[in-house]
Amino acid sequence: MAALLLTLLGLTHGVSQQVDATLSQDFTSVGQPVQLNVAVVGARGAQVPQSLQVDGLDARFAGKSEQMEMQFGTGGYRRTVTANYTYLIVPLREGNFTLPAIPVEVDGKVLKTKPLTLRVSPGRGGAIPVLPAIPTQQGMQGNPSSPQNPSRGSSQPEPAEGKSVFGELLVPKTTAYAGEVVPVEIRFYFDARYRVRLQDRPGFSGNGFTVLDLSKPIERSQEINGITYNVVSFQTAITPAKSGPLEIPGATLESQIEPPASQRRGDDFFGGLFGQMRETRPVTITTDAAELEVKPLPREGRPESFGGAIGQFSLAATATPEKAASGDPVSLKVVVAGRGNFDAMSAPELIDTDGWRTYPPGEEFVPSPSDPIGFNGENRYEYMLLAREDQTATPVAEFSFFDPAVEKYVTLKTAPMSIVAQGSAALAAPPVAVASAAPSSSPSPSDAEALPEESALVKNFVPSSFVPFLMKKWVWAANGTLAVFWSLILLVALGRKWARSPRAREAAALRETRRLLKTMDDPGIESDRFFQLAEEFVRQRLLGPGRADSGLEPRTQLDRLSLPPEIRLAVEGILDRHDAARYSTATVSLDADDRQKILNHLKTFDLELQK
Amino acid sequence: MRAALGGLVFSSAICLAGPYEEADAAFAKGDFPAAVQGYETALAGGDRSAGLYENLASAQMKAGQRPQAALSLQRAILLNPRGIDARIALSDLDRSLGVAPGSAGWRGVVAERVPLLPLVIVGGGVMWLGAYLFLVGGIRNQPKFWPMAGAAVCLLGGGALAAMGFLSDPRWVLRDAAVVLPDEGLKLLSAPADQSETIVSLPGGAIVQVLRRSGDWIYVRSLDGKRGWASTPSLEAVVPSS
Repeated sequence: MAALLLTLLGLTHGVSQQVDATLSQDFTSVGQPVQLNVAVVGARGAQVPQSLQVDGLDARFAGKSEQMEMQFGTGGYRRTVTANYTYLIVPLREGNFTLPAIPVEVDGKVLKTKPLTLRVSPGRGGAIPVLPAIPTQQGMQGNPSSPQNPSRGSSQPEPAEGKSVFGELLVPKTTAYAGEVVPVEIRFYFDARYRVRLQDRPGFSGNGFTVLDLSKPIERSQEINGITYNVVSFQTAITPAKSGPLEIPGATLESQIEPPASQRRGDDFFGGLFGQMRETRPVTITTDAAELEVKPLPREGRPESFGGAIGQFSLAATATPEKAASGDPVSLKVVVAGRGNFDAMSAPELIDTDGWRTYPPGEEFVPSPSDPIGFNGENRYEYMLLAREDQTATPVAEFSFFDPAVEKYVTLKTAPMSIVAQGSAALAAPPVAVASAAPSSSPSPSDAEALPEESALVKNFVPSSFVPFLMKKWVWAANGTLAVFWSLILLVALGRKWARSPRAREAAALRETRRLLKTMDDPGIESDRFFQLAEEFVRQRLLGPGRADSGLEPRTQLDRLSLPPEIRLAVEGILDRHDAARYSTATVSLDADDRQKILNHLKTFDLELQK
Repeated sequence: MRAALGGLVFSSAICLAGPYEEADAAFAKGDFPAAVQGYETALAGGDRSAGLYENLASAQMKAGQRPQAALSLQRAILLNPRGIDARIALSDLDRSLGVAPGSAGWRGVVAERVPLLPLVIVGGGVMWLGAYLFLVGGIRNQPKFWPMAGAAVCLLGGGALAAMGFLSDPRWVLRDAAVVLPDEGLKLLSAPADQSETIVSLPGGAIVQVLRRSGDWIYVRSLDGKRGWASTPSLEAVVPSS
C-alpha cells in the first residue's frame, strides 16, 4: 500500500531547464528604471551575473524569488520550480540599447537568454536615481560590492542601525502628470533571523490619488550593513487625480515575528509565512511617506482626438472579412498596446467613415502576462461597420495620447485596409429608431439622426416563423424520408448478405430436398420414378446439399449414423427396392399403402436427421 | 439566384402590404400609440417578420414602452438572428434600462455570425451523404479503410454542423424565455406569495428563463442564475404562444 502511495505521489523532476528574459517595459526615459526578469524554469540555484555591462545603462542584480508548482499528470505529480532573477536597469543616456544574452549556469550547463532591446528617450533632467542595494546571496557570481542602503530620491528610508524590521516606499519619479499611472513598489525588510507571518496585505491609500490593486508578494533576501534581510515586496501604481504637490502616505503592514531564541531548528523564513510560530509578537511596519509634484497636462498641442490616454502606446488594426456581401458587417479590430492608464482612455476615433455606418466599439483589456498590476497590456476594440455604399477600404482609426517620457502629445493612425464590401440600399436610411430614441446616457450610432423618420422604418419584410428548425415539419419529413430509404437499403443489403451465406444455402438446399417428398406424394407418379426420387432424397439428406454426386455410397454413410435400428432398416429397404426397380427387368409393384408407408418412413428419417 | 431572391422579397412585400402601412403613416405623423397598435394588428394577422418587429420596437420606444420594445427586439432577433440593427438597438436599450448584459455563449455567437438555415441544410446533407456512403462501403465484402473513414468524417462532421445549427437556433434556445414588462421592474420572490422575501430585483426588459408555472405564479431563473417566483402578468414569453 505504501509502495502504491509512493508510486502515485511519485514526484517527477523531468522538466527541461529553460531560461527566458523579459523587460517590464521596452521603452523608458533617461533616469527611469526598468526591471529585467530572468526566469529559470526547472532548476534551483542557478548562477547569474551580478551586473550587466552595457554602455549607457546601469544594470544590477536586485533579487531572486522562487516559485514551485505541483501538477498531477499521467506520470504522477509533476513539480516545476521557477526561479526569477531580477535586475534593475537605470538608463544613463538616451538611445537604443541591446541587452546582451545573459549566461545562466544551471547544473553545470550554461544556458543563454535571448538579447533584448530597450529604447530610451531623453529625460526631463534632474538627478538620476541610485539603484538600491545589491543583495548578497547564494547563486551570485563574482564578488558582491559593498552593501548600500536602499535609496531612491527622497522616498528612500535608511534602516536604523540594528533595526530588525523596516519598510520603504519606492516611487521612481518626483514629478508626474495628473492622470498618469506611476508604478510604485512597497518593500518590507525583516531580519533573516526572525520568523515572520504576515497578517494581511499592506494598507496603502491616500487623498488625491487612486491606487491599483497590489501585486502578489515577491520574496527574496538582501544584505544591508552586514545584516541579511528577508524582503517582501509588493508592486502597485498610483494615479494622481489633480495637479499640485501630492503627499503619498506610507504603506502599513501588520505582521507577527518570532524572536530567534524561541525558534525551532530547521525553520526558515518562508515556512514561517504559513506555519505555526511560538512566542510571537505583533509588529506594525510603516514605510516613510513620499512626495510627488503633479503637473497638469499641457493645453498646447493637444489633439482633438485626445481622450485621456497617458503613457506609451502603439496602434494596430485588422479587418475581417476581406469580402462582405451587402448588409454583412465588417469587423474592424483595433488594438492599443503599451503601458499607461488603460482604464481612463477612450476608444480610438474612426475617420474617413463616408459611406460607412459605424457603431460604438466593444472593449476588452488584456493585461500583459509579465505585468502583475495591469499597467502593461492592450485594449482591444472591435468596431462593427456596415457599408452603405460599395467600399474598397476600411476607415482609419486615430488614437492620441500624452507621452510623459517626452512630454508631448502623440497621434497614431492605422493604415486603411483593403477590403471589398458591397453597399446596402437599405442601409442608406438611418438605422432603426431605437438607437436614437434611447436616453442620452447610452451610446448611439455615430451617424444616427436625432429623431426617427418614417423612412427609417424597415420596408422589406421577409415572412418568418417562430417555429424552431427542430420543430419544423419539413425538417422531420426530409430526414425521415432519408432515414427510411437508408433503412431500406440496409435491410436489402443485409438480406442479400444473408442469402449468400453458407447457412442460407444449406437451408435452401434442404427445402429443395424436402420438395422431393411433395413430388413423391403425387399418386399418379410411376413406381420407377417414385423410387428414384426416394433414393435421391435419402442420398441428399445423408450426404448434404451439393454432395449427392460425390461418389459416396449412401449405405456407407447410413452405417456411420447412430439412427434407431427400425429407421435404418426401413431406409435400407427403400434403397434395396430402388435398386430392384432400377436394375430388375420386371415391373416393381407399388400400391397406395406402400407409397404412404415409404413416405412416412422417409419423413421419420428426415425428422431423425434434424435432431 | 439574386433575381429570384429579389422576387421573393418583392412578393413578400406585396403580401404583407396593408395594416402596417397605416402604422407607418401614424409613425410618420408622430402618433406612436396608433403606430404601435397598427404594427401589433399586422403581427396578430400572421404577418410576422423581423422588420415588422423592429418597426414595432421603434414605435414602442417613442411611445415610452421601453420593456415592450426590448421584447419586440428580442422577437426580431429570433426571426433574424443576424440582424445587426436589432442587436445593436437591443444592446443600447438594455444598457439604458439597466439590464445586465448576458453572455451570448457559443450558440449566440454561431447564431449571430452564421446563417443557420444553410448550416442546417448543408450539415444535414453532408451527414446523410456520409451515412449513405458509409452504408454502401459497409455492405461491400471487403470495405476499404479510407473511403470508410471519409464517409465517417462526413457523417460525424455533417451531423455536428447540423446539430450546431439546430441548437443555436434562438427560437429553440429562448423557447422558455420571458421578458420583464413593468417599467419599474420585477422582484423575484423566494415563494409564490406577495409577502415573501425578495431574492433579486430585475429591471424592465430583463430576460428570464421560465422553469415552471403554478397558478398565477411562474418560477424563473435570471441570467445570473438566481431563481425565484414572479407573478404571471409581469412576464411575457419571448416566443409568442400562437
